[in-house]
Amino acid sequence: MGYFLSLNGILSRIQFGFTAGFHFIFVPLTIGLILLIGIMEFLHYKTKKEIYHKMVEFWSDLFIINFAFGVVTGITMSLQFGTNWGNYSKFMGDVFGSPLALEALIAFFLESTFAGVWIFKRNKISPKARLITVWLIVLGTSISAIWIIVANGFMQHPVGYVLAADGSKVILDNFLLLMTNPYTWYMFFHNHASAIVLSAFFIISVSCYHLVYGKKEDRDVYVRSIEIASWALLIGSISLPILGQDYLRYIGIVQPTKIDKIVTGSSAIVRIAFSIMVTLGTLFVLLSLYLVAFKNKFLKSPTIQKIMIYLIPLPYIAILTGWMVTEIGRQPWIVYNLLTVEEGISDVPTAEIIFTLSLITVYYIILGILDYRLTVKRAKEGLKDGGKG
Amino acid sequence: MFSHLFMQNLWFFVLALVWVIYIVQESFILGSSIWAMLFTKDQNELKAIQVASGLHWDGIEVWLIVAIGGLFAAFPGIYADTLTLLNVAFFLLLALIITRGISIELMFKDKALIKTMKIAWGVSGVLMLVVLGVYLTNIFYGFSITSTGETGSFLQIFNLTGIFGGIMFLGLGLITGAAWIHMMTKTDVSQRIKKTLKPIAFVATVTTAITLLGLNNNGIAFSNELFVNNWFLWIIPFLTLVSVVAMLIATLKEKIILSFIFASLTFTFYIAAGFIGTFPYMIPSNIAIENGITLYSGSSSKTTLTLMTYAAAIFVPIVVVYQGLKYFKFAKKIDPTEY
Repeated sequence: MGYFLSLNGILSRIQFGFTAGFHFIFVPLTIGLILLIGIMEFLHYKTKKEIYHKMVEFWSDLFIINFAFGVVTGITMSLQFGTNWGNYSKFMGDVFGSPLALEALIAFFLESTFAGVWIFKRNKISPKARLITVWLIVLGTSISAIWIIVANGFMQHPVGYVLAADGSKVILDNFLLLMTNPYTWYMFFHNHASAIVLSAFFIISVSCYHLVYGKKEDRDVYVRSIEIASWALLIGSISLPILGQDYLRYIGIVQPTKIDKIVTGSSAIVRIAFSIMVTLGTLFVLLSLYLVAFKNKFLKSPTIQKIMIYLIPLPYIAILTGWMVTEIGRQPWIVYNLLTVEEGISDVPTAEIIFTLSLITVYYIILGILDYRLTVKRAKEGLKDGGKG
Repeated sequence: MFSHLFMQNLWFFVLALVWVIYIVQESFILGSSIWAMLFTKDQNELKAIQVASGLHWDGIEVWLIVAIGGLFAAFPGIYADTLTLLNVAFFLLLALIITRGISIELMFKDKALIKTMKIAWGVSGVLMLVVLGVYLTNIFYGFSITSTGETGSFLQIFNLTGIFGGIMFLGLGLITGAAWIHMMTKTDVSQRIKKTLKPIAFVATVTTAITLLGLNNNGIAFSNELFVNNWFLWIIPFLTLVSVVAMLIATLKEKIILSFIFASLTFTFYIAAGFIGTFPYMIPSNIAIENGITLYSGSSSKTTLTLMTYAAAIFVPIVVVYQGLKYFKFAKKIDPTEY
C-alpha cells in the first residue's frame, strides 16, 4: 500500500524516531540496573557484607550517569507531542492525556524525588532508608514504563474509546479496558525483560573488563556481580522468547499488516530488524546458559572475557531493532486504523522543523559523546575508596 | 458528581497551582546556579551548592512536566496549539533544561569538565529564568490572534512586556537563589553577594511593576470576566506589588530569609493574577479579547477529567507531603568539607 508523506511528515518522523531512539539508549539500562542495584542493596542490608556495598556504589555511579541522560532526553518526548505532533495530540489527547498525567503524578515524582536522595545523600542516611530509597526508585521506574506503554499500546491497538461524532478525535470511554489492553501488557513485559537482559549484559561486560585488566584485590566484587547478573540474564532472556511467541500470535490477530511485513517481507527493514532481534535473543539465551552452567570455566578464560567486553553493543542493537519492528511495522498508521502519521503532524513551517531537528541533532551528538565518555571513564575506573557520592 | 464545566474550570486553576509550585521552587535552584558560577571560590563551595540544589532538582522538574503533561491531559487542543505556535521557543527551553540537568547531576564526574559544567549550569540558569518569565508573561499578555487565527511568528513573545517579565523572573530568582545558598550551605558565599543583592532587588521591584502595568495596559490580560465582575480580585495583582516592595525592603535591611519569603510570594501572586486575569482564555488574543482561544474549546471529555480529578486529589497531596518531608529531612546546612 503506497501512501504519501509530506516533507514535514518525513522530517517530523526523523526527529521523533531519532529522539525516541536516543532516549531509549538510557531507559532500559536505568530500569534494569536499578533493579539489580536494589537486589544488591538488599543483600547488603541482610548480610552486612562489604562486598555488596562496593558493588552498589560502583553500579550506582553508572546508573546515575545514565539516569541523568534519560531524564533530560525524556523531557524532549513530553514536549514533542505538542510541538511536532499537534494534530495527533488533538486526536489522541483525551485518551493519551490521562496516562501521561498519571505517569507524572505517580511514577515520575517517585523516581525523581528519591533519585535525588540516592544521587546526593545515599551515604548520609541509615541503611534502612537506603534500602527504601532504592526500592522506591525501582518502583517509580517500573511504573513510569507502564503509563507510556499504555499510550503506545493504544496506538498499536485502540481499545476503550469512542470516536467523536465528527471523527475528529477519540474519547476515553472505558478506562479499565484501556488499562487492560493485552497489547500494552505484552509490550510492557517484553520491554521489561529486555531492560533486564541489557542491564545484566552491561554488568557482565564491564565486570569482564575488570577481570581482565583490573586490580586483583577487587576481583571478588566483579565475580559476584557476574554471578548475580548471569541469573538475571538467564531469567530475562528465556522469558523473552516464551512471551514473544504469544505476543507474535496476538499481533497476528490485531495487526495483520505488521505480521505481513515481518513474514512476507513486504517491508525489508521490518523483516531484517525482526531477524536480527530474534537471532540476538537466541544468542543471549545460549550465553546465559553457558554463564550459569560453566561459570568456573568462564572465570578462568580471559579470552572469552575479552570477547564479552566487545559484545556490549549487542543488547542495544536487539532493543533498537525490536522497536523498529514495533513502530515501522505500524506504518502508515500513527494510531492503528484510526489516524495516519501524515494526519498527526503539526501545522508548522518546514523551516522551523529543520531548525529544531538541527538543534536537537547537534545537542544529542554532544550528549552522546558526553555520556559515552563519562560512562566508559567511570566503568574503567572501577571501585573507588570510601564510596562517597 | 461534578459537572463537565466545573471540572474544566477547576483544571484551569489546578494548572495555575502547579505553575506556582514549580516556579517558586525552580527559582531558587536556578538562582543558586548563577551565584555558584559567579561567586564560588573553590570546588568545595561549588559542590555544597550543587548538592543542596541537585538533591531537589529532579523532583522539582517533574512539576514542569506536570504543568505541561497536565495541559496535554486536561486541554489537549490548547496543548497542541500552544506548543505548535511556540515550537521553536520550546526547543530552546528544552536545550536549557538539558544543559542544566546534565551539569547539575554530573558536575564532578569528570575533572576536566568541572569548569565547563559550572559555566553551563550558571548560564543556563540565567537564560531559563528569563525564558520562564517571558513565557508566562506572554501567556498572560496574549498573542496576535486575529479573527481568522494566529498571524505572528514565535518572535512576538519578545515584546516589551514579555522582556520585562523575563528580567523580573531573573531578579527574583537571584534573590531566592542567594537565600537558598544562605539557608542550605555552610559557606560564606551569601556574605559575599550581600552587596550585589541590593541593586538586584531594586531592578526586580521596578520590572515587576512595569510588567504588571504592561499587562494592564494592553487591555486584555486584566480585562476578562473575573476581574471585571469581581472587583475584590484586584487584591491579587495589588498583593504582587506589596510582596515585591516588601522583598525590596527586606533585602535592603539584609533580612535574607524574609527576602526569600516575599520573593516567593511575588511569584505566587503574579502567576495567580495572570491566570485569574486571562480566565477563561488559555491562548488569549491581544488584538481583540473574543479572538482568544478559551479553555472550553480544547478540553478533554468529562470521563477523562473526572479520572484525573480523582488521581490529582489523591496523588498531589501525597507528593507534596513526601517532597515536603524531604526538605525537612535534609534541612541541615551542608558543610563543604564533608563532600
